Amino acid sequence: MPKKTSPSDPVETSPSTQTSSGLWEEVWAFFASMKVGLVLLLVLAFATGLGTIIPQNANYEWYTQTYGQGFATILYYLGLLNVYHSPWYVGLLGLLSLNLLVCSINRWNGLVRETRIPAELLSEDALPRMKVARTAKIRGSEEEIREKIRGLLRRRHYRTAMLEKGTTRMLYADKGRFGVFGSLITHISIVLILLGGLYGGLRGYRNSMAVNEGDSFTIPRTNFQVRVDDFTVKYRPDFRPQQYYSTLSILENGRETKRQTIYVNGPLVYQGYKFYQSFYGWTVDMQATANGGTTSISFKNPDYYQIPGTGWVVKMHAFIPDYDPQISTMYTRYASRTPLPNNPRVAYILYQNGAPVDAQVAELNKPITTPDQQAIFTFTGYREYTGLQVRQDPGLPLVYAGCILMIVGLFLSFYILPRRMWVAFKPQGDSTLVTLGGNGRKNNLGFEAEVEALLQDINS
Amino acid sequence: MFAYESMFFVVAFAGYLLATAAYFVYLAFKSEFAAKMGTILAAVGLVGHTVALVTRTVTAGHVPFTNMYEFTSSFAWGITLVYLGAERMFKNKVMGAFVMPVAMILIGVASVLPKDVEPLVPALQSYWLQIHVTTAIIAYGAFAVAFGLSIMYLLAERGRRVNPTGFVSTRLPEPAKLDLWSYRTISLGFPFMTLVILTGAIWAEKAWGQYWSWDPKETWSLITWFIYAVYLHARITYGWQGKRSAWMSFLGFLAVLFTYFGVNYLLSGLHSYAFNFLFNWA
Repeated sequence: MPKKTSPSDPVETSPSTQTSSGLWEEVWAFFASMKVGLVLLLVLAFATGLGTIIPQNANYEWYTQTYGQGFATILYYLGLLNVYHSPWYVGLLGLLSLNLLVCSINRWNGLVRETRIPAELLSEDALPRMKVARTAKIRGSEEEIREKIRGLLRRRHYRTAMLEKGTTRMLYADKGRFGVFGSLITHISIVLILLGGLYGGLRGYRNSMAVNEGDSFTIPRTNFQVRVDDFTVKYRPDFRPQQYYSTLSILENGRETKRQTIYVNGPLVYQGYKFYQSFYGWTVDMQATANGGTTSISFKNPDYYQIPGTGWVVKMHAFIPDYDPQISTMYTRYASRTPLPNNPRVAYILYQNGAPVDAQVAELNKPITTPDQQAIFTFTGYREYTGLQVRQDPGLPLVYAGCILMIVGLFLSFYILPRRMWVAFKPQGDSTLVTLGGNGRKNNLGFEAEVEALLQDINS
Repeated sequence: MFAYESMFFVVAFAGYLLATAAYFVYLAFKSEFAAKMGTILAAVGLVGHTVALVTRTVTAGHVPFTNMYEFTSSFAWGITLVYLGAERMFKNKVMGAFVMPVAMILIGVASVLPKDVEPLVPALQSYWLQIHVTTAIIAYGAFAVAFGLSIMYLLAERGRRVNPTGFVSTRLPEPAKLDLWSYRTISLGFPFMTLVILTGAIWAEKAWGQYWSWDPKETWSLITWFIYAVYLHARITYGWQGKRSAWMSFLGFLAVLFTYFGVNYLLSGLHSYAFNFLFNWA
């Protein structure tokens, strides 16, 4: 569809043909083009969708089993197993940022000009050709009509100015002029968010850890220690968890400097590091004796342990806090009646030379002997651990600044609708011919209605 | 309390159903009376629906935004709200025959979903959730209305080409108007869609320390945002209006539906790890 252009339209810079077509100009024009931006957005939308259809960052074995060796290899080399962090996806985001920046720079002068009161008059024949144009013959002298219109426009919160050239005078009026910066601000905000994300990804720290009550941990490049003093789960009457609480202490040189109970949605913040309540579970301790030696191990997750010097492997399969044989059917073998440790058991699987030999639910502190009497193992205790996410994201201020700017930009874009108009006057006997031309940018329809109402007010 | 909620839910369902029927009658026979009834029935349905949602909020002790039933119902509520606003603003009631069926289908879907009141899992206990979902209801409501308008556009545009005096051409408003209305509705939806994503990110940052984790739901909301961003830009700069615009709006709403239903029912199996990690604490 052909487009009518007028002085205050957002003009797209097209590669200029008359100037020397240097490489730099061509590259600049390429990035300034909105077409490139739109293609980038569409490609990004497609690639982003692909990343949700192909499960990301799964086990490579899973891919070969699901897609077959050949296809999985192709997907791997295309970066489709980790789309959002693959070089080409980050590259696309980089190109988009460049596009947004170049576009913003290109548009800056034009936008600033649009917010200023023009220095010169428009030619009178330009007015009827504008997006919204009206002529009306109104009884009254030029002076009288001009002041009346000026007053009416001011009452509608327009900024008005009289433009003069020789003896010709033209009335200029505009409203909502800062709205023109809306899209520019929105575009810059996207660049800020992407930069913040990149910076945080490169320089930030993130880790998740399971820590037993009473244990401490440190974080690289910091001088403090974190100790988990306590972990509790608050249950509802039906034993669904209501909230999880971990009490953490920060220690600097052995001295406690901060202590806080964290919960989901309520992290502890210390020196830019944030500690989030994230998950929880049970630690199961086990002792094994074989060939006269005793070893011990703590399981935080289901895991395998080879008893040293033997072919026996114990898998700690599950910790059952409140074992109830009544509800342990074939399918819910490891079901727990409540999450409270009222009747703790450990489900284990015993392997000999890689083959499963036995699977049982064991009581605590009851030694279990392997069938060949070679080894004895005992589950000696259990403790609840808390799962913490530790994050430090130096890009966060940039991201938040971007979020705020984006809201400001969109508000300006969609709710502050800029409109400007020029009004020329020509005396005709005892009347004045009023010619009005203007542009309401995104909302010419609303602008037109406003002009219509204005003309009616003059006549009344 | 539950009985009251069901009762008013039925009022809402019946209201939307009958409103849809009335709008169809208006479309078919140009009966002004039917059009008026459509508006009244939709409004009565909306009031009933509001009472049902408020009752549920009181019963459950939290805003009704946390499971499929609650959100689907709220989604239908948002569509009807934006629709009635659009009807007033654009002074056209034929739209009802294309938008109210969407609200009716959604409340129908809601009616067969499990309605148990679930206590909030810890991650959802945040006021950001309330802001997040409120903005989503408005954004999705607006996109649904734009979707109806775009379908009308496509029909009207074809109708005028194929048979300028036929049924479609005499019943539907002129295509240019439909195009403009759909643009204005999307202009309402887009800033809210942006807020949906931003508030979601802030909430995730507060709850898990990660404002963006590429989980399928947030990823699809971003895709939706991309599509409507292209719609808005192409329109202003290239004058992509009319047909192409209507198809973009159509596509955008499919992305909205996929974000809500597709992600939950089609992708969750693949991404069960992420979902377990984020949502299944218990």
